[in-house]
Parts: sequence; C-alpha cells; structure tokens
Amino acid sequence: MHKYVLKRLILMVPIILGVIFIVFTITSLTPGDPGRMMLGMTASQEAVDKLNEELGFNDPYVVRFAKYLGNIVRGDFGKSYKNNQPVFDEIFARFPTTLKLALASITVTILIGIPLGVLAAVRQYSKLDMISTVSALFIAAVPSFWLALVCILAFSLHLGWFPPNGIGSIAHYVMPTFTLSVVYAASILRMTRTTMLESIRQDYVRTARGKGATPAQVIWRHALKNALLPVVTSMGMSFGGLLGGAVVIEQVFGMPGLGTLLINAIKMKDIPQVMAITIFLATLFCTIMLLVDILYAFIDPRIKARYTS
Amino acid sequence: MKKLLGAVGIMLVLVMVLTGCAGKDPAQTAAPSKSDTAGADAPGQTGDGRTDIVIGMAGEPVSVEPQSAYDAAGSKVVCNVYDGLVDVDDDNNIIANLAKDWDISDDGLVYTFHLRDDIRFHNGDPLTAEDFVYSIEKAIELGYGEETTGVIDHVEATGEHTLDVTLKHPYKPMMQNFAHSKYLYVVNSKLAKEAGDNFAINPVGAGTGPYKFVSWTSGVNVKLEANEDYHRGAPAIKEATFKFIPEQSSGAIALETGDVDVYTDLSFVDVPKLMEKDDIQVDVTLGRYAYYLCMNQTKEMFQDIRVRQALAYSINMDEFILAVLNGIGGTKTGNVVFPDTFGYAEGYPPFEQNVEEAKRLLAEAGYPDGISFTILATDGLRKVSAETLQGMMAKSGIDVKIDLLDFSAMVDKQVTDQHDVIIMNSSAPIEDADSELTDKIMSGKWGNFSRYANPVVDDLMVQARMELDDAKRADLYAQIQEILRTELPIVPMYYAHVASGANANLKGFRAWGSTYIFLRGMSW
Repeated sequence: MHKYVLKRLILMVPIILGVIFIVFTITSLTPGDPGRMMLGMTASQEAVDKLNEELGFNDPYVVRFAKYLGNIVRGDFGKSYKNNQPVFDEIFARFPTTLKLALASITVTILIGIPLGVLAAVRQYSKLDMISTVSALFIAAVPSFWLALVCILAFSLHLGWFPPNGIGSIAHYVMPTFTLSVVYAASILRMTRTTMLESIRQDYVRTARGKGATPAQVIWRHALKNALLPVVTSMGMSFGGLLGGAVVIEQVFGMPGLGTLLINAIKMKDIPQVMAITIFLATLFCTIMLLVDILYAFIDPRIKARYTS
Repeated sequence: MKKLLGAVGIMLVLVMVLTGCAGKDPAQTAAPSKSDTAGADAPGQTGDGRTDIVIGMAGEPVSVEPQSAYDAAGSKVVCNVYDGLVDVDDDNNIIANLAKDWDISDDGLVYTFHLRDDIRFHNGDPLTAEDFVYSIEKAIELGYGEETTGVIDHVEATGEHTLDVTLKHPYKPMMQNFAHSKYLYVVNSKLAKEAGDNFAINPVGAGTGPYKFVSWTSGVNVKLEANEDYHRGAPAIKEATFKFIPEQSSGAIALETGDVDVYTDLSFVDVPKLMEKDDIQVDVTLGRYAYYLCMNQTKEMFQDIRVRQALAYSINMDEFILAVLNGIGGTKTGNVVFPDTFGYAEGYPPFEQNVEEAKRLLAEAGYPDGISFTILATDGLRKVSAETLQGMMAKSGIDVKIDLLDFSAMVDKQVTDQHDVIIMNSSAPIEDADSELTDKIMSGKWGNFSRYANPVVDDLMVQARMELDDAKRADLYAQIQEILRTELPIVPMYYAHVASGANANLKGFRAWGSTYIFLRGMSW
C-alpha cells in the first residue's frame, strides 16, 4: 500500500510538468499581450510596449519558459501582473470560499443523490423511481446559471429568504450550494441507480437474502458497497471539479472563489496568476484522485488485497 | 426514511420553483423585500438615521493607488480617498482644492501652485510639495494616465508648499486635467516609498480625501471610513463599503433586495423595470464615450468620400439604439465632440437613414451593385452592434460580413491594418475638444483606426492645442468640425449613456459619466 502511494506521488511530477508545459504554451500562443489588456484600446503602442518590457513579456517563449521553470523549482511562482502581489497570496485568500462551497455541495450531493438512487433502483418502475429519474434527467439538462438566476428571483427577490450576493454568513452559501448540488446529485442519482440495479441481481445478494438478512441490511450493507465503486470515482472527479471553481455559479452569486480569480486572470492575460492557479488545481486534483483510489481499498477488500500483494 | 422525505421535499420545492417562476414576470409580482437576510453587513430598505452605505459595482479594482487605478472600479474608490490640486464646481469651473491659488506663466508652460499649509494625510503627516512631485512623477513613470500626464515635462518643489509643473508645450485645458485626472491626485510619498508594491493594495493613511481607506478583502469588498478632519467638511456618510458584483443582473437584484444601496453599472435591460419601483431611484446620464464607425482609409474603397457618406446614410440610429441599447443606452449624434465640452460646434445633426441617397452615392462612386466589407467585433456589445448594422446596411446594397474575434486578436488586426470597418469608442478624460478629437482624427495617432491623414486638420489641431486664447481656440475647433462633417473620416453614431441605481432615500445620488462616484455629497 505504502509503495503504491509513493509510486502515485512520484507519478504526479510528470503529470504536473505536463500541465505546466501545456498551459504555458497555450497562453503564449494566444494573440494579445498583458500590456494591451491592462492599458486598453486607447493607450498608445509605446506605453503598451514599455509595460510588456517591464513585465518580461517580450522575451522569446523558450527563455520565458526556462526562466519560469527555474523560478518555480526555487519556490518562486512570480507576482501577478495585475497588482504585483505574490500569486499564492491571492490563491490562499480565495481558496477558503471555494473549499467551503465545494465541501457543502459534495455533502448535499451525496445526501440527495445516493439514497434516492438506491431507492429508485430498489423500487424500480415505481412512482418514486419515475419521479426521481425524470426530474434528475430534467435537472441534468438545465444550465446552472439559469437555475441560479431562478433561485435568486424566487428566494431572494420574492421570498427574501437568502441574500442574492456575496459571502459572509451561512445564508450566503445556501443558494449556491443548492444550485451546484442538485446538478451533481442528478448525475450521481442516475449512476447509483444503474449500478445498484446491476448489483441487486448478483448471486451474493440472493445468498444474503437466503441466509435471512433483513431487506435493509441486504441493500445498504451488501449491495450498495459494491455498487458504490464507480460512484465514488465520479464523486471524486466532481469534487475536483468543484474545487476548480464553479466559475458560473461564483460569478452569478458574486462569490470570491478560485473560479472568478482564474477567469479574471485569463481575461487580463495575467500569466503568472493563471499558471499558479492551474498548478495548484492540478496538484489538488491529482491528490484527490489518489485519495479516491485509497478509498477504494476500504470499500472493496479485493482491491486492498491487490495493493498489498 | 427521514433522508428520503427530506430529499423528496427538496425535489418538490425545486419542481415548484421551476414550474412556478418560469412564466411569471418577477417585476410585476415581486413585493419589495423588507427582511434583513444578508447578515450584519446588509442594509435595510429604509434610510432613517443611517450613516453607512454599500455600493455595488461590476468590477474589482486593479489597484487603489490613484497612479495605477486605471480601471472604472479603481476610479470609484480613489476619487473618494485622494484629492487633487484643484477641483471643479457644478459648472465645471476650476476651484481651489489642495492648492489655494496658482499662477500660469505667460508662455503657458509653467504652472506654479501654492499649496495649503494646513492639510494632513489620513495618518497625520503634513502635505508638502514633495508629495505632489512624487505622485506626478510616479504617474508619468507608470504611464497609465498618459492622456493627461503625457504633456507634463517635469515637476519640482520650489518650496515646502510651492510646486512648479512644467509642460512640454502650452496646453490650455491643463487645469481641467489637474481637476479631473485621478493620476494627478496626491499620495503620501513617505508611506508609498516604505510600502513598495504593497502600496497599491493597502494604502492605509495615504490620502487627503474625504474618506480614509480601511481595508480591501480580495474578491469581496473595499471599505472606507469618513475623514472627520476633511478640509472641506466631514462627509455625512461615515462608513462606505464597495462590493464587487460582476454580473449586472445580479447587481440589479441586489439593489432591489436592499443588499446594496447603490449599483453603479446597471444594464439597460434592467433600467425600465427598476424605474417603476418606488423605493429605487435610477439615474441615466451621458458617459464619456462616443461610439463611431472607423473606415480604414488605407483600403481603396473607403478613400472615396461618397462611400463613407453612403455608410452614414445607411444607418437608422433610432432603430439601432432601440435594438442594441434597449432604447435608453445612447443619444444619436452627428458629431463625436460632446455638447457640453469646450470647442463643441453646433449645426451637425445626426444622419437620418436614406436608402436611396446611399445607393445613389455608391453608384456615383462606381459601385452600382453595392459594396462588401467586414466589421471586426468581439463578443458582447460590438457583436450585437455589428449584427444590427449588417441588417440595416443590407437595404442599401451594402453586404456586411462579421469577423468575431477575441479582444486582443481584434486589436492585433487593427494595429496591422487588416480591418475594413470597426465600431470604435474612445473615452475623453476631460471635457475639451482636444481630448475628444486628437486620438480619433490626427494622423499617426494610435487610436486613429480610420487612418485618416489630412495635413490641414493635423495643423489646425496643433494650433488649437497651443492657442491660449479661448475664442481663437473655439474657432479653430469649429473649423475642424466643419471639415470632419464634409470629409466624414469617421461616422459618428451615438454618445453612450451610463445608468446607476440607488435606494430612493439616498440624497445627493446621481450617475457620473466619468466612472467616478463621489460619496461626499450623499446622505440619508
């Protein structure tokens, strides 16, 4: 197990290097320059050139890439073009908002998606199954910004229950969490239903029933454990995605998370900031996927046995 | 089972929301929310006895140091924290501010300011001429405010409270620059030097203005508090919070729910709905932007005046403003100079659509079968504008293609002269024809994307800029505007409006066209 984890950790290095290379290259290939972005349409070309020179943007691609790699090896991720502040200061200022939103959303997703998915499978073709499957299909097809705006209109404007914008209290997180989690819950529900349908028809489930276990025990302990594997993978990826910033939701609800930071940095061609966020997220995502794989071992003893052998 | 019930309940609520709200117009059914749901920092709807204010704006500042706050959000903060040498009254006449009086040398090159000796920065340090030297030199070095600082040659302190600003050439509207340009506001040089790069995001104590900078929480808000010792009297509102609400529709809703007291960047789609509300006041005013068509005159087709005129006659500006700006986002114009500026000449009404005239002019110019060209556009306003023009111009036999690009890709094409036609807007920092015309029509200027080069116009522009006599200057600009109308190097379209909304109880509120918002005159 330890060996496996170590191997995975080492494997993260080339993955992240690849991410750095790809993102750096793309930002260099796209037209435009930070000087023009910052000074706008009406600024003179001399002013733009001068600013680009100061930012070190005029060096050739290879030189900039080499310099950049050299710097991050020394732990220097550079300063934002926008305000000359170390890029990770901004990331750490924004990350708590994103993390809170992601944790809340994934929790609600699990609480809605898995029980409903299981029930839909157990009572296949029942009314409950019909309602939950159809509404899940519907919600999965709804654009999240629309759902967010409808929520604001209904719960902020009409009912006045929740603030429409910003952060600061738990109430601020209710609507963003709800909008994010219903969309994810819809897909988790459908996935749980499918995998549960498969596993309740397995021989070992029949055996469990045969030996006299209660229906609840059969379903929650025996069948679900096996059905959960693909669901856990999917949830891990959803969580990673949520950490990357629910860009649209953050924007609509005016939440200062990583997503809005990344979008603004891309718009401004703030390369050091874009790179730092990407590296941070790639590392985080790899770590989460590793944790998901370790979690597998606890859910499925067969996999644990494979790690130890 | 409890979990199941809860989940089913949520689903039911969701279904109700989805079906119940989709068809209704919220403006007709919504009752103004009185409940205070937003926690401690949310204001209620009534204004009695309040001394705080929450201002929502569409962006987050790039900086709160005046010399580098080049964006609209940054302007709104710095204009309340810092002060300039002089200011203007309601009629745009220059009045004293940090400078109690001033002399201008006969050749118009040297401006000598005598500063007040009783001014202190928010941290208690006294204001000296050295602070202005530092601030103005920093502005020139950074270059963000080139339009207003570019004319300054050098600046020196000739006494503790005496400042000499020397220009590169005489420039009559310079006093307007000193009054309006945030880049020429003063910062505490001692604090700025100590803080280094941190100064732009945390300039505590560095201003002399009516409000003191308190804090800036990245992505959330900027907080200010009243400067009780302000030399022109303490402001009525004691605590101000600038909140960042990037989505305009969210901003309008935040205003309706009372989550913010002011939203400065309303979309014209939301304005009519908000205007009907009793508890909200909306102000629409002229922005400092004129929109116009640039026709690239390095292309043979556009060198013919008749083709340029045909374009002007092919546009129905009333319809355009209705379709693109919801009928309220602009005022059509036949002149890019603003009516309230120095040098504006009357007698150039907007063009009216005349399909027959447009066709006749094109035929006369040798294009009886019409012409075809491309408009460069970016997603958003430029795209919608281009699509609307496409439909209108088709009637006059003009075939418009649209090249949809990323902003920087579009600028790349313009700079390398690959464009046919673009819809331009350019801001003018001060209300003077020099500021409003130079970049649009002088040859060799960066913003002259019609590539118009007329030595007569260039010469008149230089003369007008150097002239110190107001009557003569105005006459020169009148001549220039006459040539622009005849030769039509650019087709003026409309003056853009800006719309801001506020709680109806807020007194002294209005929309500023200049990206600023001055809190000092506001009260509950």
